[in-house]
Amino acid sequence: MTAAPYNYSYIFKYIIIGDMGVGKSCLLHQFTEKKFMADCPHTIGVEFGTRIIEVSGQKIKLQIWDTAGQERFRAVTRSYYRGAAGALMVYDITRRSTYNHLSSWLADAKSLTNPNTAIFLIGNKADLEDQRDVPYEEAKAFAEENGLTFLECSAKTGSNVEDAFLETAKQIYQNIQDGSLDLNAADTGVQPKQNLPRAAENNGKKDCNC
Amino acid sequence: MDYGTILEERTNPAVLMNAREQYMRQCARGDPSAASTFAFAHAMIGSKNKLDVKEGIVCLEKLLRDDEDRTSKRNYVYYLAVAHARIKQYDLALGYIDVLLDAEGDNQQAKTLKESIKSAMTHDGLIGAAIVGGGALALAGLVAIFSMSRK
Repeated sequence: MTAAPYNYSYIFKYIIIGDMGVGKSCLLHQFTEKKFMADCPHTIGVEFGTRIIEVSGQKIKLQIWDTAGQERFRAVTRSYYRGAAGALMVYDITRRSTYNHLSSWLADAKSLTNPNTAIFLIGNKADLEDQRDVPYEEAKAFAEENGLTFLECSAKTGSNVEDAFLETAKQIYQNIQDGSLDLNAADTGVQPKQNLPRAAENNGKKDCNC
Repeated sequence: MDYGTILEERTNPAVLMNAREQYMRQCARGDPSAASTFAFAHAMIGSKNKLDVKEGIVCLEKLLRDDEDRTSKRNYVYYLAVAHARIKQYDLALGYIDVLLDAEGDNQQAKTLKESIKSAMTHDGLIGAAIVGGGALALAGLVAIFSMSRK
């Protein structure tokens, strides 16, 4: 909250998708606030969070859209896939049904985002090892088959949560560096700072952090 | 695309057009479903055009009255708060978000929205002004509907 809010080189748009109750909002909250929300009600429509991170010395603002998992609002959440640079697809390692639905989430993600969108698979609730219903190796194989990066995380303990969000950003940044992500194309989900009127407005004003 | 809060979010014009077309097609076939009405309303309340936002509000109010589903009602109440705040009808916005907070006091998403509404009011120089007008009274009926559904 206290950091100079517009001091960054890029904005990357992310979406978080997956079944109801897999812990999407808790992952977002753990990432943005470094806190675990124990008793979290179902997300209303689409929630929004931001955090500034650093990749290869560049400050990047992540703008993260956390979508409701409820089927009846799928039409609304689908409109958020467009223009996402990164998609975090989440399942719950203690509930196989949430893993079984991944192919439908993946089909949506592939058809509604652009080909450069970095899709990251997250098996959440890794702290509940004794209730595990999906073996690590199985999910790992699924990720490899589909060209996804994969990690098991725990929004509760915070384990691997940073890595999931940061690795996705690294992939996107890499795509910018090697030219496979064309910043002039529409709906890339990446916005360089020079196009940010608000950033320019704030330059030289209120930027003294000394 | 650099939004500070959910209130600053605006619907992409292509998304808005698409939502409108789908909704119109549904209407032509008969009564549109709650899900597609909501998708339409959600897109409309993100429009830069105030009249679109108002049309979205009318849809949300109708959904709040007619949809029996409790989980859906909280969605409508939340987005009614968002929509009214976007057209600077802050008393109504606060009225709706308080209805939701009455039912779910710990809801972080609702608390964040209330803070965003208040900071938008501060920005517009409205904090401290007497804002409890007819708007809050008009809400009373809807609040009753929402409370009844909680049982």
